[in-house]
Amino acid sequence: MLKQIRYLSRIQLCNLLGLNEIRHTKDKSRRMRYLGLALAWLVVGGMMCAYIVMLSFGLTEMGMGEIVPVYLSAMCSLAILIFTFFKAGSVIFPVHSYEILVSLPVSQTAIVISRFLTMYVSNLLLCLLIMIPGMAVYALKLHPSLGFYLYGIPGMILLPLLPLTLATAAGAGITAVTSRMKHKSLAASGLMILIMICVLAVSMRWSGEQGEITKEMLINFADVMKEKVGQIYPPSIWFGEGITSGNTGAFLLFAGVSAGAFLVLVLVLQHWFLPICTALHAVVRKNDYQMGRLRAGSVTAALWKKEIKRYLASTIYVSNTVVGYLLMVLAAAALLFAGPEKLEAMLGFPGLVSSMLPLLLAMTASVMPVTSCAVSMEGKQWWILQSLPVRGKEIWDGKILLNLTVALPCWAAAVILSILALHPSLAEGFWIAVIPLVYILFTSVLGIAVNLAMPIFDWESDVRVVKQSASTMVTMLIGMVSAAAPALVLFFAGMEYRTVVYGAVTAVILAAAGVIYGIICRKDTCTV
Amino acid sequence: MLEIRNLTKTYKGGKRAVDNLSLQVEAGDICGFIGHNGAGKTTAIKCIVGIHDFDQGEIKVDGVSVRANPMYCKSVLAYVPDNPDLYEYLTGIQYLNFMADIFGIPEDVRQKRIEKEASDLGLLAALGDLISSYSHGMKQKLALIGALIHKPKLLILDEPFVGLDPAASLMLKQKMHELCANGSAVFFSTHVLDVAEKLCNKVVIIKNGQLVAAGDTGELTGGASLESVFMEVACDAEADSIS
Repeated sequence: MLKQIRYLSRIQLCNLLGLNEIRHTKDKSRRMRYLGLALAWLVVGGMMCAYIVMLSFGLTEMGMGEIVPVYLSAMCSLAILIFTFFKAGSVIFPVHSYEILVSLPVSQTAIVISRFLTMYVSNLLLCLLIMIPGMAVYALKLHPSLGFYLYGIPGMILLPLLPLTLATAAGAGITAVTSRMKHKSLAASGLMILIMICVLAVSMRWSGEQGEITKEMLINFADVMKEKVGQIYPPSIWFGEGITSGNTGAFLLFAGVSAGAFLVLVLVLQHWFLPICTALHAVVRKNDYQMGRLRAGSVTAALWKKEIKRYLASTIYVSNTVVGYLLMVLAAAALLFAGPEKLEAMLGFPGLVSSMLPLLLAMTASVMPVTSCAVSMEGKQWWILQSLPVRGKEIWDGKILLNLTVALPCWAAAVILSILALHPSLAEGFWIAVIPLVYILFTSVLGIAVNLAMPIFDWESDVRVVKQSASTMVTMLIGMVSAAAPALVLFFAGMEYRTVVYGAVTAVILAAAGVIYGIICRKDTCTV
Repeated sequence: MLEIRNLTKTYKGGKRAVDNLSLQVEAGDICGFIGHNGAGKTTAIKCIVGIHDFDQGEIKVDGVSVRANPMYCKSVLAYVPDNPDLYEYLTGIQYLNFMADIFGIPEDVRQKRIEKEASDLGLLAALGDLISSYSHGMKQKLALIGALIHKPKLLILDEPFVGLDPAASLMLKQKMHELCANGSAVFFSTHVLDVAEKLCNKVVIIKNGQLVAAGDTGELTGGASLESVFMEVACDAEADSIS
């Protein structure tokens, strides 16, 4: 079985990272695209490393070095939990390769473990990216004993296991529950979003309950933080105690719980693998259609309706792209129900949230526009639009309209909640409404432009397009930076320049959106 | 109806898939496009329907260049690929209504056409079901109904008989004849030489992207079978490539 796991994992990883394509493609532009993606990852990785180093350095300088492993392991676990939760179901239960896999002489356990391992490898990279810089700072500043290295290295390798298991269990659970439903994708998306909202609401409430940070709390900050992390995620404490105090019992507890949870999950999943896959593949065919009246519509309306149906058919697509817009509403709701002070304390920006609210909303609206992978989502059906008498502009318009359909109700809700929370002046209310709207328009066209420059059509799973494609990452980076840059300018220039900065941002971003839209309108489908 | 002059298409990476290909299909023609696997048939077809751009040459549909006016060319032709990957998240009728919207077919006309074509191909009852529940043959039938919805002047099919049941194959042949009788043309690639010989009044044979034989089926075969002509041409070309 080990051989089967190894072979299956290798194929999965080749597909996941595009290694096989890089190795065998003769298309230079495709190779360059991968090189660009690798560079983008390096930039993001570098930024993350720099942040971790500064954080760890700061904590050790303040005499709170012992909290570093606990804090970083908790941060790492949370990141893995969030990143894996949305994709676990579709990775574990293969929709496209299911029939090939089950017809081969491989065990279900091997299939489940290999798919889990694929996610494990990518999460291990994330884990090492977070842990190694922090641990290096810790080792350089505090000169720990041999136990730190003895427990630290296997600890880092084991660290992704538990959050990955929890996320996989939740994701697979949702897939299992919804697999027999008529509208399984829609139901799964709804459930995932509901769970994420609950997690965010609970974390907001927890942050809110901390209240004012007292002087006594600051003195014992490391202990307070440890206690808080321990309340939410005890394995981080076991990990920290194992490597900083050489507590073998705590480390063994951490290792045992991580490995045990994984084994239990594999046992459960291999038992339910076939029934869930069968249910996911079950087709309902009534075969009783009777011709009724057909309504005619415009080309744009036809493309827009098609886009909506495509969107709602993919759990991964919906759950990943709606997050930013939901965060926008949640931030505004938190502002109304918890008050600006608590929200500012929670986000760590005292006095800034209410005055920079338009840019904060713009930033959440730029997280991941639907358009960032909308062209790639055409996949193997791309030939249909290419061979039909529709212009590229009409196709991109349909996709932009889809993004606006998802974004605008959230924008309207966020604006109304924000105005109710802050009772702003007419001018401030205007910016609260206009700035996020301008960014929604900008990221809508930006997503199409980036995706047209970096499309992928030969994919087998939505995960490859939504979560692992260069276009979603680049769009996200540009969108976030374009919203964060004016926030920084405002922060350093002072709030009295608000109107000038907001006015300039509106003009520049609108002009950029216009230029990008002009460029994509000239793009023809046969050159994509 | 279809005129190709000196078409050349080279893929990124250097592979020349179509090399200086010229051919002509008149209104009323059923033209078979024959060649080995990898001969360049699908690439040439994709250049005609606007999926691929090309390096050199000219393609005209109904006398109009596909480069100068692609929208017109696409509005008068229809294409059905060998493996029709359709929008699996739509029902059959939603897909056909989408196609009708794109071609601007009036409500009453689309309703009549869909009902007739779907009944002829035995797909009417399944039109309310999701395409993801369809078999390969059903998807092919649906793609064909979608292609016929605007009564194209030029119907282009890539391996249309693969996956179709005998009744549907017969119906497809009848549809081809109907279209041609009404002044349209059909251009299709196939490996089934018997079908090509019986169905087509014109045949084009390509090898390694180059035209090796073309003409009226009767004249080209000269009383022999199309299979023997094809093998002769293919063997010659193969011997050339070995030497």
